[in-house]
Amino acid sequence: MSVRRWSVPEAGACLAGPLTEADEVAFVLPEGAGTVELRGIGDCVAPPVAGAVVLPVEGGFWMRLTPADGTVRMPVPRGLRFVLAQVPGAMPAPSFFPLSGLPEIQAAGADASDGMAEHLAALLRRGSGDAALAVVQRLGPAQAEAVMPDLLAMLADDPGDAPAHLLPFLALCSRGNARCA
Amino acid sequence: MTIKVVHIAHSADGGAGRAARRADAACRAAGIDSSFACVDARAETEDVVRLKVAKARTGDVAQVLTDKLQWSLIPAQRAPGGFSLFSVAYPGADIAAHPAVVAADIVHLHWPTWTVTPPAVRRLAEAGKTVFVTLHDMWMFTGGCHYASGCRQFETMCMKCPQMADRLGLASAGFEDKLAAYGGGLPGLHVVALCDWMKGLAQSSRILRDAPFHLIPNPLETDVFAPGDRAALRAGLGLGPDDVALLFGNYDNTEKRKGADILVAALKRLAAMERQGKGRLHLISFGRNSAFDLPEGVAGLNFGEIGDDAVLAALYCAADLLCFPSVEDNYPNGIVEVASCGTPAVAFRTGGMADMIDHGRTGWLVDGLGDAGAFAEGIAAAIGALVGDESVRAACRERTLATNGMEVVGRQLAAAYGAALARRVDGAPVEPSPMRAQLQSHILLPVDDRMGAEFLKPPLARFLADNGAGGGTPERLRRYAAPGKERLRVLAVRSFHEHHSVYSGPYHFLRHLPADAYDISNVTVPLGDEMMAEAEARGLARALGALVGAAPFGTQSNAWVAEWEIARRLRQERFDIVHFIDGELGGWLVSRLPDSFFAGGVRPALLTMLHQPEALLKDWTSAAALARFDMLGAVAEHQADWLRAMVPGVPVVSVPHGIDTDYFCPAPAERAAGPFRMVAVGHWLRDYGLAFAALDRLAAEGIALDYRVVSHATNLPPLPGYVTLRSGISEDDLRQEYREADLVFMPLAAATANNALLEGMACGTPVMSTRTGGVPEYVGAQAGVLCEAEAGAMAEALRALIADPARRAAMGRAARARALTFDWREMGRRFDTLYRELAGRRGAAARMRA
Repeated sequence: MSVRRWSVPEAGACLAGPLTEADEVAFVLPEGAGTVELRGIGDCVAPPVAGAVVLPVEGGFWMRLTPADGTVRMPVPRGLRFVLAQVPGAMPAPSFFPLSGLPEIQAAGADASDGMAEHLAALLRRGSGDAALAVVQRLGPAQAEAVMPDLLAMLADDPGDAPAHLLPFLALCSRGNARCA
Repeated sequence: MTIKVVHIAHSADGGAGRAARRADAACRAAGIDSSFACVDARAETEDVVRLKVAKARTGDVAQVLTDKLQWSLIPAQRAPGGFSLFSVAYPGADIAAHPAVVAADIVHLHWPTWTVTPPAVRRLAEAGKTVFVTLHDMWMFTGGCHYASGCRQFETMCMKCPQMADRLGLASAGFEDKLAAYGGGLPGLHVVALCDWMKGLAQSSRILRDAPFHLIPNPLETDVFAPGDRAALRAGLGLGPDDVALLFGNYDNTEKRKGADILVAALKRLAAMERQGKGRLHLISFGRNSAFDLPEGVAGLNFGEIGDDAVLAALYCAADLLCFPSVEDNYPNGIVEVASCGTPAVAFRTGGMADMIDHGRTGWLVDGLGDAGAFAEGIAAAIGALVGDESVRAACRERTLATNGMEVVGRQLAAAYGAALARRVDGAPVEPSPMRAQLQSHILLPVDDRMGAEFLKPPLARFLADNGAGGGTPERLRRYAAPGKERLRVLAVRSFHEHHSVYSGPYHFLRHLPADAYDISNVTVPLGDEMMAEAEARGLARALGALVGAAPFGTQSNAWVAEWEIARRLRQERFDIVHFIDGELGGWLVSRLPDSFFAGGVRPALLTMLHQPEALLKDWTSAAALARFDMLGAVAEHQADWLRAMVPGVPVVSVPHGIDTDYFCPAPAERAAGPFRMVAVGHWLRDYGLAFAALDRLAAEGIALDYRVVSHATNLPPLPGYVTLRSGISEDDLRQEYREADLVFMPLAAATANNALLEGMACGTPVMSTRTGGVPEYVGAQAGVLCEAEAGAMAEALRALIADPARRAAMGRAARARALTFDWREMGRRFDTLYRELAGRRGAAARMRA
């Protein structure tokens, strides 16, 4: 079981995923933030998290809790694909990249170079959105930002079966939007 | 040299098909080498050649267009008042390479829907063919309806169809497609109108007004439709000499505009009337769905569909009077045919009927359009004045021979063709036609599914893809224009709000921009999420909406999908301006794209209009998101000030919501007496709790109240007894509510602009609302009363108004006057100025970058 760690921005939200059952996720709250809201996305039931108020909602679950140590740890139940974490009432300002990824992901990121846009476009055209997102995360913000204009242009010219709902990720990663608006 | 003409219609058997066959015969009688072809006919005859078109397979674009769109989605979206067919133009049959078309000098189209597409008309003209099109209805110059039912949007731009809940924006897409393909005076295109009424409509239309027009009626086989032995025919039908035989029939009698319901209601009244000296009443009916529930005293003779003109002519001869209660019609064959047989007709004084019937001489024209009582009176009057008078029958026959005889019309067609080709036509009749031999070559024509770019765009493109018919390259056509005329290209992105009145969406200013200065392309984005099929994807879209900083946008998966389609289009086509008319629900992706993404490496100027009050907007967007646009639009000055403070680096303009003051206008009659009547419309940010609290106080004092709430909302507070809730009402009924109200009483929790207040004001009804947001800017000082959000103050203000009818009347006049300053035409002028300024900035920015 690997723990993937995400930081919740002080004024915004972060998105963890795509997730698999082999993951456990941890959300690190900004200093001074007591409460966090988590929205799980996927065909799943909410995982047990001590002290959480949980509601089933369309396409997943919603939960709110105040972790004593400023970090929420959560097992990933079957079917859970993404988790959006947000400090309640914060102005939305997106953050996409994990605070620290898995060692092998960081290592893979070092390989990102020429041809990455083509590689990602090919994945997306095949409908392999999860794989593409994983690659984007490995790239890190700077490289992702660099590759996105070409990637968007390639997909616009030939979208294939690219999942339309993943486009916001790509938009976020272009023009310096990777960390926050 | 003999002129070669091929007449083409979709069908041989409907009214237009029959008329087309007759036009073909008239041409031959006038020495023209003419032929007729169609793609749909009951049977192939000597005069009817059926073109063979390849069959579409399941999943083909053509099959999806026909089965999933034309005959599935469109019927499901029809509004209760939708009273004529609405057709998309596609698919067609690829006729261009057919030997008869290749050989023809003139391709004459009659009802070309689903046969010769708008781009195909353009291709024919550009290939050097002279194209004539006879207007058998209005479809050639509307967004898709065949009769507009009083709507006049075709004069400017079809934006929202009153006959359909048009979630895919088919009306605006169809309109822009035709405008691009053959609008602006496409060289080689000639228009034939059958009557002055249709000619007037078409010449006022944006699409056809620049084309050359010819006024030529339909011809008729006056030897087939001729007076016969009436006595024998009537005896054969069991009609006594004194019986009155009324006649009614159409190709399909269920078409609402044909007025079968009106006739049945009129017959009920007629049966109850005292009639002097006449025998029994009979109704002879024919056509599809011709069995009617007739009242006692009216005997029915139902003939169903009649394929033999000789039988039809016999019925016409036997009848005493054709009843033609159509509320909108062009040049009905029935009226010509029956007159040729010597029988008069009774019809409403509307459309082509007013041209075709000489009142009191060849028939009877009835005022009071659509009124069954008036029609009953008209039938009775016509029976009294016309039936049994042989001079009337002779006049009918004479008029038809003079107007519709084959040789008469043939000469007119020949003259029009000759003028178009600069060639004289005076040859002998051409029989048999060499052109017809060309048609009978048994060629299998390909399906023509090449759609114009203005049609094949989101959300329709997505609809086709979702139904398994993706792909296809849109045919890019730029509207024909005289050389040297540059037009600004504007991509207007708007959300489809089902609850908006047809006349009051925030986009109608587009209809009033200078027509020669702009190419407008509308993209309609339906609210909802049917364009994103998977639940997980929809959930993710919501979450990502928050992540992007556009939470409401995220709840609309359709907007999510459409945004990408819009971005793709902007990569392929250059636009000067992209205007997100519902800025809260669009622009998040396009505004983030780098210049290099766009066609030619030039980003269009981006304008986003925001409609929501500050309290909502601050959570729905962010300064950083708005800073990506080139200009921000507000709908009230106070909102503009707030935006300027929020996003200091971006210019902010304020252009108010407009109103259609032609449609929303005061009632001709005085308001009826009765309880004090008020109306409120809509649900968004309405404060019905406050309204009821104020009115409860008056009700407790014994004041009689009648409060009409027009809303589809299901979460209203409990309704007091003086409230009538109305949902799903027609446009006309909505207007009637405003007109009949003493006051538009609509407290608001917050507001920038408000359509309902403007609609009421335009109808000359004073308003009372809350002094909040942009409301004072719209209502002004004279058109109504604005109160603080407190029930006691509102009750007091209401009490004073109820007691002072003279003040209300003065306010109503002021309301109308103020509404006129918000007319869409004025908003069109303001946006014209704004767009030019924006385009200028973009040009300057591009020059600086260069």
